[in-house]
Amino acid sequence: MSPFVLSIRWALRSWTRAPFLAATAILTLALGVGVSTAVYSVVSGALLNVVPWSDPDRLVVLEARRLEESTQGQGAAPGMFLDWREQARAFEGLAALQYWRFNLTDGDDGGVAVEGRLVSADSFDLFEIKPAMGRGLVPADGEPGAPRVAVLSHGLWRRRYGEDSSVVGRQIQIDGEPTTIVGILGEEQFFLAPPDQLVMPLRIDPAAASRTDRSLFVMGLLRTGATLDQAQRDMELVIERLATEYPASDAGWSVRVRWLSDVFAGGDRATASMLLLLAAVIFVLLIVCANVANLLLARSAARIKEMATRAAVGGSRGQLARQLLLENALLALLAFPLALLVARGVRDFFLTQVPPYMGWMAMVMRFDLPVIGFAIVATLATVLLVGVVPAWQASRVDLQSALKEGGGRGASAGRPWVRQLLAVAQLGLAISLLSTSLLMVESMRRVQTRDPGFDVERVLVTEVQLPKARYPSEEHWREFERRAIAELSRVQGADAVASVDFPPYGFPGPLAAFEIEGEVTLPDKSAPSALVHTVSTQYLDALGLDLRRGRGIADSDEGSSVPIAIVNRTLAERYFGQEGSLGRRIRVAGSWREIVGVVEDYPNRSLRDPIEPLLLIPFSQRPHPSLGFVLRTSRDPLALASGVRAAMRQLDPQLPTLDVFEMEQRMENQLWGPRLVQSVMWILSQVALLLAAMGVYAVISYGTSQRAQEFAIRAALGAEPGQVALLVLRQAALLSAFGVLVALGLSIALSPLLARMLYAGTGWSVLQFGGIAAVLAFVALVAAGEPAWRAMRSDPMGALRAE
Amino acid sequence: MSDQALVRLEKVSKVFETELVQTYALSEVDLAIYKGEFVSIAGPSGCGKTTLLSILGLLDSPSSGRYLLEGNSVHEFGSTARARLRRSTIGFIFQSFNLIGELSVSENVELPLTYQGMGASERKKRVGAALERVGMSHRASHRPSQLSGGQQQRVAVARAVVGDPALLLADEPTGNLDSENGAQVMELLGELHQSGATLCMVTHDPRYARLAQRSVDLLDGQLASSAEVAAVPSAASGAAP
Repeated sequence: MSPFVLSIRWALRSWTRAPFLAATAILTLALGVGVSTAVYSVVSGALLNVVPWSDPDRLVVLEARRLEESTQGQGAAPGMFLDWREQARAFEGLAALQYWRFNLTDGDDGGVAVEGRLVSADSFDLFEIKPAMGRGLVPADGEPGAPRVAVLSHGLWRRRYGEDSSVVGRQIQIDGEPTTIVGILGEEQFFLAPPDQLVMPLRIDPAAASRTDRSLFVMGLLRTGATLDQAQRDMELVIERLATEYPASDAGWSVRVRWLSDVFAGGDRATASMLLLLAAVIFVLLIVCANVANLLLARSAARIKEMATRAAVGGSRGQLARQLLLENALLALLAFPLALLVARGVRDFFLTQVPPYMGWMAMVMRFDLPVIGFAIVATLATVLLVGVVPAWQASRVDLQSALKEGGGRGASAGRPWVRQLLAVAQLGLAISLLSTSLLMVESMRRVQTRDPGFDVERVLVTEVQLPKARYPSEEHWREFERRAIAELSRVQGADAVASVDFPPYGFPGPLAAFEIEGEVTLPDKSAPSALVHTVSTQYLDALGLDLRRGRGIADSDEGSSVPIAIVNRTLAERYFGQEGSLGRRIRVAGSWREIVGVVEDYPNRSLRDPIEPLLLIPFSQRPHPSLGFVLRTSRDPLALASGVRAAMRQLDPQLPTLDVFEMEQRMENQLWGPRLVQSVMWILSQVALLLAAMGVYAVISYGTSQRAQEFAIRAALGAEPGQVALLVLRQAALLSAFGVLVALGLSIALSPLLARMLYAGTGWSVLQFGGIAAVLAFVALVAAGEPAWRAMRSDPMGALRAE
Repeated sequence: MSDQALVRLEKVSKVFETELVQTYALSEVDLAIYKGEFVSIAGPSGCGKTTLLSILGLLDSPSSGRYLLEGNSVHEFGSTARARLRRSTIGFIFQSFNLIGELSVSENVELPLTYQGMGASERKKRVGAALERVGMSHRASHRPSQLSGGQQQRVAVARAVVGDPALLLADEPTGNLDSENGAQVMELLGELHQSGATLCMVTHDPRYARLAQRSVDLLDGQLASSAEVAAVPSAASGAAP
């Protein structure tokens, strides 16, 4: 048998002789690494897998931002995109992408509504996207008058066509016009189109390109070697030139160049969430390290004599250290499959938190090579990291004293302060995780108890995209909307019905610049801007919105009458202040409108987002082919769903099947991300708490056994059992106190990250932190209970004889 | 008398220092042990016997002075070289046996050979021979905890001699044994010496000290006396100077 195999045999035997310790270490490792791996699969899914590109450090997003406001980034208007693409020098190329809803018809069933993207036709070449079947879009597809083509996502192909490869080349109807399917994207190619969506070329007519409709999401591929800063400076020069050339639309705006991975991960707040989760994972792994290190240190202290003997018969330091590390590696080997099982279970739990419409997240939260690699590295690193100190200590044992009769007991391996320091670190990490997790729970509670501005529980929402082929003009749209409202009003249980182009808690619609009559926008200031929604007369009633001043939209506000607008309170206060907005005129989308009412604020995008300025314009005065309908009822909203579908079929049997949602569900769907992060943090904090309690128990328990003789002497000298127990509990209390101090430092360090993701107003409070610290101190004292009990019952003579 | 001493200590001192006090465990000790010699080191508790043996066995280093083993200045060696010498040149027998509880008798004996990197078949042969020599072959697969104290010490002796070391060091080898077992172990050591082994034994039992050729007395870390107690066997090169 080779020395290596022999070493493995010794290692195996050594663990079978300490089964409880081995099992504790293996379970600790499996739990810590498993949970961490599951979280890593979420983080890597969100940060890495969504950008399937070999060189993600070259992919950026160009966001328009108003100079004087720290608003969220906006898209670009088509005219701007063309100029950016022509003038920017730091990029290999720029691509534009527009969210769109298509009507897909390929049989007699009336077709389906399909989400999708219009993308600049050279995007496939730029990002080197080669569909799994057929071809991608090519620049010629974007030329005006070119044959209409579409590329299907893998999910849509599977769902709609049962993975029939003959669909490539087939002609279908999209928005009522013949379109050829030219390619099918691969299962993991959701860069341009998430699963269940389709991609068509974006066609921009340079002569008629808008500079105010900021609906394009612009991505760029940096030139090889170009940095983000260079791209930013390059774009600033371009923006400066364009502001001079187009002061009305471009002045006062800047462009921020950001990494695409940051944006795909969900923007600043989501990136902060992911970073926080990564920090939490590291915390949990550190706690695991500390725990296992404590176990191994205690074990190595008990094995001093063995190590000294091995050294005495010729084992070198390297050989001894190798033996110990091999034993630890064996632990890792046994813990690894268990860790994968834990990871799988936790990941499956996370997926239950993802709403059905985000089901494709399962694909990015996958157990692929990097995730399994993470598990391997985390397990090995943990075990090796924690094994180094005991191995180092074992190799530096004082051989002479260890080999003496009675030597090796309580000798130098593992000074108590090392173990105590590890316990303090564990407590500190656990407290900071727990308090962070509680802050997130509190943040979510505040979000969920935020006033949505209207009664979301009794509202049903449906959306439809009118195909241009059969609804080519504004008159058609107006007519359809009028008939639809009449038909939907007849649905049993519908108390009020209204239309809106972008219903709340979905895509918020583009931000549009507007001009206030009588006010001049200074060159260094950007024009005021707001979300603009077109709504029908009963919109305020249907949602139950509170009109603060003026009037709502009346039947008399027709296309031919004086253009009007209703603004929300934020817009009124931000741009008109004390002067009042009623009666003032603004110019938006080319026409002057009189403000006739001010409506109470309501979160339009998500309960977590700040209120943005909002303009409501009568549908009749600015019709739109994207139509949403909101129905108020006093019943269960979903009870109206079949009536709504029947009414729409009655209107136009060829319209795609409609999805009907409760408004409350839409609102909840917007919160799944933060809720997932909160769940993950909660699980991590509970695991951390459990591990920290185990760690404290191990340290106190070991310390108590090491102090058996001291306790016996104290008892022999007359100490009462309670006084002895107090010595043990005092140690636990001290550990907790230092743990709280560590937690305080960590919490301060994490504050900036937390501030980016917590709902406004949520923050640390001394009371909350004190409460958590008290809970942890209690946990530590409970963990010390058994050793204290043992110390109380120690047999003085037995302990003294043992020495 | 030849000057080819197997072991030569020249003015070896060992000082244990704390913040407040310096304690001389050994003070300028000169000692030579010749090949084939059986030397006992005696003295009262705390006189430095075990420290001296630890230095001889390269488990500890002198604070000053020179230590020559087979002519090499081993006091200058680093930890790896010392470990190498321990496994190739020195065999240890401890008072408390120091067998590893998790390993079987044969594995305990095999341990030094494993560290030497010896091949499996050669190890097996040598372990068999060593156990045979101490009369423990029939217990090869047992665990130390299944053996009596005397048997454990026999196994420890087998482990000490299995690598055929130039120097055998025994620290109170009978200290944990009753008189019958103690006598048996001493008989075993005597046989090893008769077959040519160089032995250095620490003992405070005068009965066993007398079995050595030469007895060295230590007192307060200093060499108090050195006297021949028996005829030098033919295998030995000579007595101490």
